[in-house]
Amino acid sequence: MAERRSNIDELFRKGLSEYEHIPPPEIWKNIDARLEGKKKAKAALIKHILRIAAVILLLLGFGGGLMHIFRQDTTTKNYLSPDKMVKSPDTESVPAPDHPPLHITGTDRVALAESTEDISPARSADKEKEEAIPPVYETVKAAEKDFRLPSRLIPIYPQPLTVPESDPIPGFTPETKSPMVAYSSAPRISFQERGRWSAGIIFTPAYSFRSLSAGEAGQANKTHFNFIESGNIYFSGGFNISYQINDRLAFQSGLDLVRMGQSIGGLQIFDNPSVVELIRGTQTHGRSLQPVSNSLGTIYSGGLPLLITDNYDRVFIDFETITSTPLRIVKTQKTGKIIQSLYYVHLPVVFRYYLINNDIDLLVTGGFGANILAGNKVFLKYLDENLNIGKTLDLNSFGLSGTLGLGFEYSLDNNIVFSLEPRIIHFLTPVNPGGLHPYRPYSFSFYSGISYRF
Amino acid sequence: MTDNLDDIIEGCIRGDRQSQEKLYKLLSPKMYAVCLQYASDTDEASDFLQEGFIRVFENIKSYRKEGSFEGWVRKIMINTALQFLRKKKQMLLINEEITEDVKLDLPAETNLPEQEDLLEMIQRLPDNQRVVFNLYVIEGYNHLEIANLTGIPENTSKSHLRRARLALKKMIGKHLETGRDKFRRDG
Repeated sequence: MAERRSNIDELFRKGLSEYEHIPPPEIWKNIDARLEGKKKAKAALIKHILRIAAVILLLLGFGGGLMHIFRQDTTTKNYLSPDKMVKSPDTESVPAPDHPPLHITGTDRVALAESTEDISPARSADKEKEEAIPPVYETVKAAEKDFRLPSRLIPIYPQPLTVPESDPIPGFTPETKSPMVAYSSAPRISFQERGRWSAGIIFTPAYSFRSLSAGEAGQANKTHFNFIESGNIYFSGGFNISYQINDRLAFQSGLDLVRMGQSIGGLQIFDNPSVVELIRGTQTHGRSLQPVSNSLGTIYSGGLPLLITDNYDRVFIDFETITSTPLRIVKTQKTGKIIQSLYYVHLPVVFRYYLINNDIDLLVTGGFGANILAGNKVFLKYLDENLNIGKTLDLNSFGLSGTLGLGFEYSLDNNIVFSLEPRIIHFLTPVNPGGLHPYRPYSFSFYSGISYRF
Repeated sequence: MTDNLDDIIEGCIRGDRQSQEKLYKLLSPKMYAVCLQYASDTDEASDFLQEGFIRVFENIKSYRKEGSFEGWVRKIMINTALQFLRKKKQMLLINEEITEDVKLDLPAETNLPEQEDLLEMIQRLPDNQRVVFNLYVIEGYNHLEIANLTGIPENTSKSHLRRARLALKKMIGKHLETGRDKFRRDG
């Protein structure tokens, strides 16, 4: 049955139905300024994204440069490129004998030692070869032993014996300047051989806090929140799957359960039920009190009989807003803090670029993530207890984040890889829609995990 | 030349600042009155209006022209006010049996309060009571809808409404006894 309308209702309905009131002129000015500001902010955001893209490109470019240098270094050390390597029965790689051994006579050694010019390959090729070129240090020792060369002549031997490309020895295409390390290490197994896919599990200790914009409430409010709020250490975990596009680039996705949030300190807690009841009894007098202030959003609790105040006389009491000045009963007071925790299912889309491919790989990671709010809890920590007292209201259930980091990978064998990856995950969208301070959580995470290549 | 509302809306969708200003000038007196009903003072009402119009301009693309545009803007204003009030404080939850309606018997020749007086009376109510009274009486929502809008239980909504009516009855009585000037002066 429809509830009967009171004639008080009629009085107000009729009285106010056609009511109009001209607003103060400065309101439009404020709206105009904000609309203009949003236009500028949009342009600034595009600029910001372009900057981030430029940084990533620079990182990739820097990585590419390193890769180039490293490749040169690697080819020097490995002496021969992989297509010049053959496998011996015991699987060790040795250089393919695609040219006749180069020999050098003792006379040549003296000539080389005394010469100030580059060695002429034509001259060497024309000579009758007596012995293959040994590693340089052996050559030096031999020179000292066999010919007793003056010590002043010795220093030229550490210089690599080079053959100018303009005048190559027929049938001999050296790819290194240092034969000394020609057989020093086996080549890395290519990604095709070890498998393009990998799947793994991760574990993440992380420090989480937030970045706060001054927003409408202004800098003073923000400073206050920065003073009373602090970050938390959380542990997260999940799994990931990667696809190696080529030797340098891999794509990774997965599913993590990420915790973020903050603590509000400097609170006094009154847990004496009689105090709580006393305050409840006075609820119709005096001015209104605010909930314990925080930058994330209003905390809603389910009825725990506790009274909490902060230094700004804001009061949070079970599920009610009471109308009373706060009571501070010292004998029942405990200090404590409120922890606002957000639980996100994080779906990352990350590109991994390998700067160094070696026994320990070094890589940079960058990408984006979709975050679905899976949980939202508020805890009260006092007297060594951690009580779940409710949740934060009015939070977005979805947010986008960006991620950037470094990574180290160590292959335990051809298939199992251990990884350690410091990463920054920062929300790009505020989690509190329409909040006075746009609130973007972030975390410094140390992704450690084990993955299996297949 | 006077633009019609459709042209103004189209201009706002394009982000044209002149159209936005025209829309503001057209609707702001009515919307400011709505905001005043939900606010405890003019400063708060100005905040509601400002934020409400920003949201109107940001979301005007989502207006589907299926209902009254003014009604759509009005809903945004009310939602904005509710969101502000929710942030300001939590809604008071009370649970009491509603046993009787509040009746107000006015003499036939009574000098009824003016609009400004009615508005001031509403503004004197505590936030929770003011919100429920406005949603129920002015906007015509039922208690279930109010519960969904504000997050308070239905019974709490009923309690707030009853308390609001009682408080308003008291204020009207005082107004009739003492006259407008004294009512305002005494506060």
